[in-house]
Amino acid sequence: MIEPDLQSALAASTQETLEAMFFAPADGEEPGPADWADAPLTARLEFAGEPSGRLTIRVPHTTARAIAADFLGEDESAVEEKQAGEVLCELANMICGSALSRTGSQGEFRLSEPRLGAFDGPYSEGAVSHTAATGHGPLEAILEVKPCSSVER
Amino acid sequence: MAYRVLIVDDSPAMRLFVRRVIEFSGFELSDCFEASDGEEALSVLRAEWVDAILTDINMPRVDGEEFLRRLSCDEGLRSIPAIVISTDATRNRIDRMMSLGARGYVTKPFRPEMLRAELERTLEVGHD
Repeated sequence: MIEPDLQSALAASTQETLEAMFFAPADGEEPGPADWADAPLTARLEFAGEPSGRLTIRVPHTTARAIAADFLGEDESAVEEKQAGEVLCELANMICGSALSRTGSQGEFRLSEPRLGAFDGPYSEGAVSHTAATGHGPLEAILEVKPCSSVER
Repeated sequence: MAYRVLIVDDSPAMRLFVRRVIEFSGFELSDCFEASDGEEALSVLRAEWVDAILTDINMPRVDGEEFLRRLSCDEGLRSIPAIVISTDATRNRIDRMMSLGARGYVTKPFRPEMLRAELERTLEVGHD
C-alpha cells in the first residue's frame, strides 16, 4: 500500500538527485514565472507495479543544457542537444525510482524507458508536483499515480 | 594497484557519469570498459579481464538480472565481483540481485564517495 505523502517523497527525491548527481546548490533560489520564458524540454516515463503511474519532468531548454554539462563534466558549449535529452531522461529515471522507493511500497516496480516529447498537461486528478532550483533555472517534476496496475503507453 | 572496471548501462550519459565519478573520486583506475547491455558486457569480458563490474538492471536485450545469471554460470567469469547500480531501492529487488551473485548494490542517486566506498569494499582495497 502506498503512503499518502507523495508530495514530500517527490520533493525529497528531486532535491537529493539534483544535489548528489547534478551538484546543484542545496539552497538555490526559488524559481519564479520569469524562469520559464524559455520553451521547456520534457521527459516522461511510466512505472508499473504497486503503484503504477507516470512521472514527467520539465526544464527550460537552456537549463537542460546547463545541467547536462554539470552531469557530464563537460563545458556547456560542448553539450549536444542529444546529450541534453539523454541526461534529462536519466534524471527522470532517477527521480522516479527514488520517489517510488520512498513511498513505502514493498512491492517491486518496473520503469519504462524515459522518452522526450511534448507532454504538457492536463495531468490527472491527484497528481503532485514539485518545482526545484537547479542552479541554472527551474525544474518541475509531476508524479501521477493510477489506482490500477495498467499503464498507458 | 590500479583496477580495470567494466560499466554496463544502456544510457551513454550514465556510463560517462559513472566513469567520471570513479576517476574524480580518487579510485585508482587503470582501464575502464563500457557495454550497453548484458550481452555486450559478456562479449567484453571474454576479451578483456576486469577487476570489477558495475551494472544497471533495466537494459534492453539482456538486462541486469539475466546478465548476473549468465555470469554466475560461466566458470571463467563468475569470480569477477559485480556491483549493481540502480534506482530501485526496494528490499525485494536488492535481495534478488544479491542472491543472483551481486557483491554490492548502490542506489541512484548516489554521491561519488558512496560509489568509491562500495568499489573499495567489494575489491577489499586496503585489506591485502
